[in-house]
Amino acid sequence: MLVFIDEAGDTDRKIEGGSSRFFVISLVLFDEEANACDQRISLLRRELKFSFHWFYLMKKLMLVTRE
Amino acid sequence: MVLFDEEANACDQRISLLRRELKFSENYEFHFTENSKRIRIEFLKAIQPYNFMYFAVALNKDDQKLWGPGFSTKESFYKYTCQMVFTNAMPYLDEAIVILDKSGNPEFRSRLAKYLKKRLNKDNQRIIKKIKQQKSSSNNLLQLADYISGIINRKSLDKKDWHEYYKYIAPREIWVQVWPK
Repeated sequence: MLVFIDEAGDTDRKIEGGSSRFFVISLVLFDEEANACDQRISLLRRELKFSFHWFYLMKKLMLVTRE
Repeated sequence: MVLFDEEANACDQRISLLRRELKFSENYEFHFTENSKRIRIEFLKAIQPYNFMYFAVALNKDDQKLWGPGFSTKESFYKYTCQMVFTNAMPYLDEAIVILDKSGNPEFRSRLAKYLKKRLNKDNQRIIKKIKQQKSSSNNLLQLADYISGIINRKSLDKKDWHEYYKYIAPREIWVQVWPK
């Protein structure tokens, strides 16, 4: 279970001086709901990995060609 | 436990891929308030397929509504709001690995981590397993949390275009508490 925390606005109380009216904290949670998608995600990971390798290989080839 | 990481990992990779699609550098940080409408929509479309949930607390800082010792200093203000959102999410949390944005005062972040663990973990139930601090610039999912906060802020302010962004994240919402009413 992974949780990510981030905020918007500021904690200063001087709203008339330009501080935000609200201070917001969000908690984003990745839970085990992925269960049903497990196989598809594993496949996606492999697909993306492949495309990333291909991307870097092409980038390297282009640099070699330029040199 | 691996499954959680798989989903987060897939979402993380999708955001990295979006950066390439938009021809941004590898170090580009998605930031809701700084991004154009086009980039915001692209980002929100990209994260659509991934299973995550969110909670948020929007604290109204109006002096007429908000007072008390918990809001006298910036540190106590932050701690209090953080504690509220964790308390709301508590039924969903178990052995969670929490990632906080590393920016700001590192000593304060350490104190916050200790405070949250002490307040939320009980003898028979460990809500938080570990708290890590990472730079938002190098963590795509902290950038996702920034987007959620930015949209909830916009909605709380009732800005005219809030629904154009909110519709993408609404299905993932568990509870957003605007306080005080």
